[in-house]
Amino acid sequence: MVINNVVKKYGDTTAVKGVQLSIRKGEFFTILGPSGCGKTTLLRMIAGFNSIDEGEILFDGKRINDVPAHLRNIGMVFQNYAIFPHMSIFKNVAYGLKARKVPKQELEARVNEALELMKISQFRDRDPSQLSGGQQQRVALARALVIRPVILLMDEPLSNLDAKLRVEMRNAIKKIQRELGITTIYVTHDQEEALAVSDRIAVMNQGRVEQIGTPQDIYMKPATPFVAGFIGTTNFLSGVAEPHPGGGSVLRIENAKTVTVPGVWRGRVIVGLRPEHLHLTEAREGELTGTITLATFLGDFINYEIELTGGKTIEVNEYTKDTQQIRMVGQRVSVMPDLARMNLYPDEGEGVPA
Amino acid sequence: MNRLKLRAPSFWTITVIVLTALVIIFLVYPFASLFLKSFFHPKTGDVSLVNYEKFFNTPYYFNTLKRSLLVSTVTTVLAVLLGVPVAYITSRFNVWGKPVINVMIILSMLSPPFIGAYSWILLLGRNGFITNLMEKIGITMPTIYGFFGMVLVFTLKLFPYVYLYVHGALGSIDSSLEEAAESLGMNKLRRMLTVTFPVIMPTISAAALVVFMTSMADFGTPLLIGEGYKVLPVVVYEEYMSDIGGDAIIASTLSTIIVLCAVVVLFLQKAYVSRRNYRMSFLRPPQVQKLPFGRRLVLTAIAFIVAFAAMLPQFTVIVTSFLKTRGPLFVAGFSLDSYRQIGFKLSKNIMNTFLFSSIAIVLMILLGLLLSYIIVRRKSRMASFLDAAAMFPYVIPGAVIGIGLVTAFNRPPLLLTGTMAILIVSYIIRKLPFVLRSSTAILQQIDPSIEEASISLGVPPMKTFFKTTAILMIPGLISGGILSWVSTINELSSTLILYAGNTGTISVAIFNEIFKDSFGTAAALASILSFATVISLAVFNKVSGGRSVLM
Ligand SMILES: Nc1ncnc2c1ncn2[C@@H]1O[C@H](COP(=O)(O)OP(=O)(O)OP(=O)(O)O)[C@@H](O)[C@H]1O
Ligand SMILES: [Mg+2]
Repeated sequence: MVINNVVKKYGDTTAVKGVQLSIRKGEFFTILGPSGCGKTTLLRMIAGFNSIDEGEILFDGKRINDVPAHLRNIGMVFQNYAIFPHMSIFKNVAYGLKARKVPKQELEARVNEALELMKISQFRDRDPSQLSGGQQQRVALARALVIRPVILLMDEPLSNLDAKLRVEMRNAIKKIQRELGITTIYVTHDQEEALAVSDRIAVMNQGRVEQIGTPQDIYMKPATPFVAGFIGTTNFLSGVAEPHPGGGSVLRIENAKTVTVPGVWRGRVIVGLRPEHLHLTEAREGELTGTITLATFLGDFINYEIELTGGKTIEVNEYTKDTQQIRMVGQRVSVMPDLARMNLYPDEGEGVPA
Repeated sequence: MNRLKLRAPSFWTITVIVLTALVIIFLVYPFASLFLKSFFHPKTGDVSLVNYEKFFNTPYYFNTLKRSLLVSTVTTVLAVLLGVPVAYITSRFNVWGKPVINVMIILSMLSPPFIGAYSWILLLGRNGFITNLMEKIGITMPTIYGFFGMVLVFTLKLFPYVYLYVHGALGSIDSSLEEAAESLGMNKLRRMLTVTFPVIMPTISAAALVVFMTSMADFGTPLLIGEGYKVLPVVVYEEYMSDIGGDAIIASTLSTIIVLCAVVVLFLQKAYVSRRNYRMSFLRPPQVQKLPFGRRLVLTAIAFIVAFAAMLPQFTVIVTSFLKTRGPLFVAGFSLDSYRQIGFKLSKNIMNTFLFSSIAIVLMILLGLLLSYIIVRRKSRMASFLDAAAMFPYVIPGAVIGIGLVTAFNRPPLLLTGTMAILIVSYIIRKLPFVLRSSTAILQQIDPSIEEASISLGVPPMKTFFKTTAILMIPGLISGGILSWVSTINELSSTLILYAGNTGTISVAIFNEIFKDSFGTAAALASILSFATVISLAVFNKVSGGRSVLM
């Protein structure tokens, strides 16, 4: 499936500003972004509930902009489940097959299979009001899957569930998706969920896609400071760089002594470093130095909050397996970046993200 | 891609077009012409406000406006204060005899308001049963005529609207809302005040609006019990009756003024509701609370006392219908004479009432279903126009509707005067707002993604609508339908102007009998109406699969 520069406007505001995606067959593709960034809008454009103001969407090379929603053969799972309250569970799941005039016997068999798959066979004849949220979500999923859609769309399907159920359901979804090999577009604002289930992730911000990549790509090589800050924790420091005649660039982070980095960088840059990509040593002249203001023991690692000389606060993790003791609050330390894991971004005048 | 390909217009586009045409023919055209008349000088025919100057400078006219507003406001407040608590009691507690209470309250709406007025006069009037009784033990009752009587009759007649609306809303609140408040440590009273009532406030305001409009538009009650305390519709009616053949401009001016007042109130209510557009998924209906014996008894008694007070005019009428009469006088003893008389005189009226109302109600429900959907789900400029237009008759007193239709359709191509079609049109115009109110209220509580789910499963939009939303709306439509059915068979004000020799209805006959001082036959007709409605409600109950008559 290809999404070509689609745009959605609501009056003066543009909710989706030219999104370009291509989703592979059988892929679990996640659209991740903060609230209000246009995820739902984009998903509903794919489903056919929002018109497409500009650009086009292609299924198997066919443009579907003008195909009405009910002919798109898309499975959709809604945030609030949207179970038909006036039908039994069986009828809910059978609904799409009835619309397709599937013969009775096949219909029964397929509904039962879907109920089995979602482990809700025992609720077959119940009313939706007698099911818990998680069970209703399973019904919604069974109902969407039973029609064998070309693509499955899910808009924050787990946000109404409790944390434990959320993890359980997301694993179930992932497993079923693998089993059926169904192309899935999954919308969430929960980065952990996105990292856990996705083959690839598109990170959206203010109607634009900032980065598309595998969970590892997105985490290890965030393309923009926004992605770096939105996925996991990133410390942002400011730096000044200058290309080195012998290759690479010379970079000064804050007021520490210069280091050499690959790539050609010139002028002000933003330096992104994750807490686990910083190492602590005793305070040394010429390095990034600061005072520990908070130390939190979290089992497999210790999280330190360090106030650098100059006032900036950063987070550093030290792993329990690498260290013997917890450093004391008030101790002065130097912070050594792991240069291979460091990400640099041109500073476009907006300064270092908070 | 060929951008010029013609797509067949969608079901909803066609629906909007057809509805717009109907609205223009049957609403905009007749009433625009009626109201515009008041803006022209009666002599010269120039555009002028001279009619309004006359209205505001003539105390006889101007006072009627002040009285109308006062009566309606007081009535509305009292009806809400009566209807809401009783609805809360019967929907949330296991009081005894709920079906009986509900039926009593529905039945109390049954009789035309002027029958209520007439009954209260029979009880508390100058020569009333209770008045005479009290006099014997030395107590002089305050007069029932004028302001007090009108408010009494209107309140008891109209609080059932509040009751029915609120009862329905309380039954479809998602119980998790209240449970949420409870879990936040709210005690029951504060939960009621901070969650339950705010959530149903839009419904209460819709009911209050019905009460206000109805009490302002009615002229049967003030005609009988108002006496010197003349309100606006009475004067409109009198002016029209005395103006026949002559110059109807002052009636048109008064109509415009009463409509303008009502429009203001309508818009206030709409503005209020639009800021509170709550949407709930009613997957979990609220639980009915089990009370200990003592409190159960007290609440049951309260509900029954209110229901009984509302029913009192009915009892009075039924008893009266069995009294022996000689001419206009009641004599001692009971008899079936009154019934015998109507049996051969007025059976045509009885048939007409049910035939016209049945046709009207079917059309109304269909229109209500389609209109509310267009208004709630397919917001557009045209939808707002249809909404405003369909709701507009809320603010038009029945007599004015009659006058408007008579003048508009008394010549070809649409010669409807004197036919049953014009009566049905007027019933639909008058009662559609009721159906529309309840169906939009219900629709607002239905999750729109239910339809999207159905569409994404391959069912086209129109079929989706009828398979999901329409079915989910049926309880609401039935409740709105009952209200409209009940009020349609009792419609008096426009029928009085529109009926011809062979299209008279029961209510017209009652009115004529009262003014002929044939109280016995009037009471018998009213009793037949009650009885017929009890039957229709029972049938309705069966047809709707044992659903509560309310929701
Ligand atoms: N029907 C609408 N009319 C006007 N603006 C809208 C409409 N729907 C969405 N928007 C706006 O478009 C933007 C994107 O909304 P969208 O619902 O797609 O966000 P989202 O990423 O799904 O957010 P969330 O995570 O909160 O669900 C928002 O700024 C929203 O206010
Ligand atoms: Mg969303």
